[in-house]
Amino acid sequence: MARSGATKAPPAKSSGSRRRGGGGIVATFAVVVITVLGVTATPLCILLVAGLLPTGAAALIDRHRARYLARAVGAMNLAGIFPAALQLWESGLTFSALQAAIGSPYTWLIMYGAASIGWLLHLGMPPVVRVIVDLRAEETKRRLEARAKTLVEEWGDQVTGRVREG
Amino acid sequence: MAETAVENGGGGKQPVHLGEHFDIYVDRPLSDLRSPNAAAYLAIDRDRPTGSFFALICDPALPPRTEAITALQGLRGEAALLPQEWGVVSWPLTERRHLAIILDRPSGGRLVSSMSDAIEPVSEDELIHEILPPLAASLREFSSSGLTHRSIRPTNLFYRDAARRMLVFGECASAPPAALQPTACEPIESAMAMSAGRGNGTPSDDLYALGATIIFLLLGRFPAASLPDQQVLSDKIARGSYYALLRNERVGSASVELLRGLLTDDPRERWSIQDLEMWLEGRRLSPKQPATAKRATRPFEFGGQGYFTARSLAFGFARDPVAAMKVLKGQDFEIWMQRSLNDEARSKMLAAALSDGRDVGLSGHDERLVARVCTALDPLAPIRYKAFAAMVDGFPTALVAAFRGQTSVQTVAEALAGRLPQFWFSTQPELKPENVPVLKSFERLRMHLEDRRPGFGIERILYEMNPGLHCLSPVVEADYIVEPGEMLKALERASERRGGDDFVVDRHLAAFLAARFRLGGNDWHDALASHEPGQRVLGALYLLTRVQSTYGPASTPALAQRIARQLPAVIDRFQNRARRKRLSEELPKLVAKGNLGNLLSLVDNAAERQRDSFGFAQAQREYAVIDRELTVLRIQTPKRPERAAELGARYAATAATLLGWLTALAVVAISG
Repeated sequence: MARSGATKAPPAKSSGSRRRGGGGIVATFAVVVITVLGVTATPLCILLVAGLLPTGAAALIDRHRARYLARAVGAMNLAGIFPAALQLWESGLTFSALQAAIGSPYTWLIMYGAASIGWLLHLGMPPVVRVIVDLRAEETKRRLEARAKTLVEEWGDQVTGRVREG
Repeated sequence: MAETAVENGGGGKQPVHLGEHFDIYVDRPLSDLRSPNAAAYLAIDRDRPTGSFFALICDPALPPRTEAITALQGLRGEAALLPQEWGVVSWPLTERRHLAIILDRPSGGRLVSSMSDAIEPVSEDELIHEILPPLAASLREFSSSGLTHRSIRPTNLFYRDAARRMLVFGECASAPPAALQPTACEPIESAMAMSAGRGNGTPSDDLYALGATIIFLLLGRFPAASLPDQQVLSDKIARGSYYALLRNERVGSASVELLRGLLTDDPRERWSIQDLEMWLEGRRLSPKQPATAKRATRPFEFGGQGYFTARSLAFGFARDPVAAMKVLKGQDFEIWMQRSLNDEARSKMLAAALSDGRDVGLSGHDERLVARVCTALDPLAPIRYKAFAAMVDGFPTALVAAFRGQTSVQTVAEALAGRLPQFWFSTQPELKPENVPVLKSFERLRMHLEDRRPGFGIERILYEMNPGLHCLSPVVEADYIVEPGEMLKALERASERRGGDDFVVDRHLAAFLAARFRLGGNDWHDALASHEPGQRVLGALYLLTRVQSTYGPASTPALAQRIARQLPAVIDRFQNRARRKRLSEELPKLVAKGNLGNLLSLVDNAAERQRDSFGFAQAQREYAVIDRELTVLRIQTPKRPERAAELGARYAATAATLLGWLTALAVVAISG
């Protein structure tokens, strides 16, 4: 439906439609997975739905085309759910095991803590990269200017091509 | 020659050596033997101290007849003072170099020192039997050797013996041919030319001068001596030379025949040497009647005067070309030519002169038209253009005189550019075989005139036309350089004197070397003509290096020093600063050695130049790349935060993904 909406949308809105389209695939895939899991492994499905709430929130507020926030939070969130899910799996996907898992505050701490680490990474990485990029740009500029100066000293102003010879 | 400069103040000076034998005594001037263009000094042959000689120190203002001197040395010349030795000497009184000519010293002294002097008249008998035979023999010898004397006049006759019985011709080499002749002693054609432009002429001109001299000997004075030259010339044209020179004086009947024969104005009718010899042997010829030029039935009025002959009218036109041009634009002149003068040959030539208008629009066109008309009216006369008048064979010396300030160089150049000599040849009754190369050379030289580069132009023509002329460049003029091999030594001396000045190859220096030093090549002309100082000094260095490698000397440090001062302009043509510095540091070492070739190799090394330009091109490319990169950096600066945010988010997502996987693997590993 989103795809058909995207095709009907005016050209100015086409990129947004594509974003919605991309998100739509993921959402559809998630719904399918959750539905399948809901039928075949209901406890695991409940654990995932409850544990992936931070990822859902990140996906909702991430307006970037590449959805870096959702990816970062989602990856870490999944990593945080993985121990509880593994334990649930090993217990035979029973509701009692689910109850034990969700009843433990550590489970929530690990799931949501991991998600928050992903969030922190998303928030903390750009300033660090900015510093690195700035430093590298300044270094490049200094190196190029020094070489240009050397060339002028070695060959005169004419080497710049901005001074008439003679 | 400036008598005071050359002759005075020689007391106690050492003699000047000339050649292997002769000493010239600076403190022993012989004023009675001096020529108008040369001071005379006692000369002694060291091998024959009893011999009697004198030296003429020639004034460099007018070129001596160096081409003729060698030939004159080969003559026996009993009745002529002939060069025994000649060469260039350093003259202490003028502190410059002069051409010196050693001659036999005539014991009896000069016949007269001025045309207005008087002597005891010579009898016809003495003239025919004692004076003329040796003089005629001498002229025969000149003629047989293809030479002319061109200085036969009463003031240039000497008594060879102390008893003053044997008259001999004086020297004829210290000045251009006939340059010192009074108008009276020159045939009409030659007399119309400026003194330095009379040319070598023919033996017939010598016989004419002998005729005029005989009048002086027979009468003991010159009847026309008191008249101005123009008056004498006008009289000759109007009445013929015989009457103009003899005026109303009477001479013996035998002499009348002799004088009429020698003073005939038509050179073809004039006595030859053979005629004179036959007459002296007693074979009497039928007396020549003065040839009359074709006269018009009515005079042509020009400048308030009536002209009956083409020659006299041409003479009048040449004296006032502006008025002549007005006449030529009217119709009266053509009508007079056709109806009154009725000379078909002259009319044809006149038509050719008027139609030859290839230089319309150029400066001096009208004057050149008048010059062509004058030549058409009087083909034997000299080429007359503005104030310039010279026989065709007198052009070379006339050009020298022009460069020496006697007339305008520009005028001579215009005459050559206007092809006046070529037109003159076209009006001659016949083109003699010996004149064919002369005609071709005028055409070739005109090409030089159109080339403005140093080494060409009117200066080149000067040296091409005058092979014996010394270099007139102010830098070496006083050194009297005739051979290119002497040039570098002279330049070295000049550089020692004027070390502070920049060295410049002036137009005379360039033209002299271009004409005399054929091995010098042609590639330096463009360089010398360049507006770029570095290119000019490089051209000079190329030229002088070739002179040095051909003639030496191997070392000219003072000259090298002067040139080196201008070489920074050449070194600056290299782009690489380090290379410039290295060359500048090496320069003084090479200057001290004085070899110009080494200097040239240093500053104009082809491989070095190639390396430099290749390196410069590479540097330019590299600089352009850097410039582009810096521009990109500048453009990207405002977008950098956005870019950093994007990158940071991407890295965060990637890092989280990796971390997630690692965590999952760790959990699996721990639980497993």
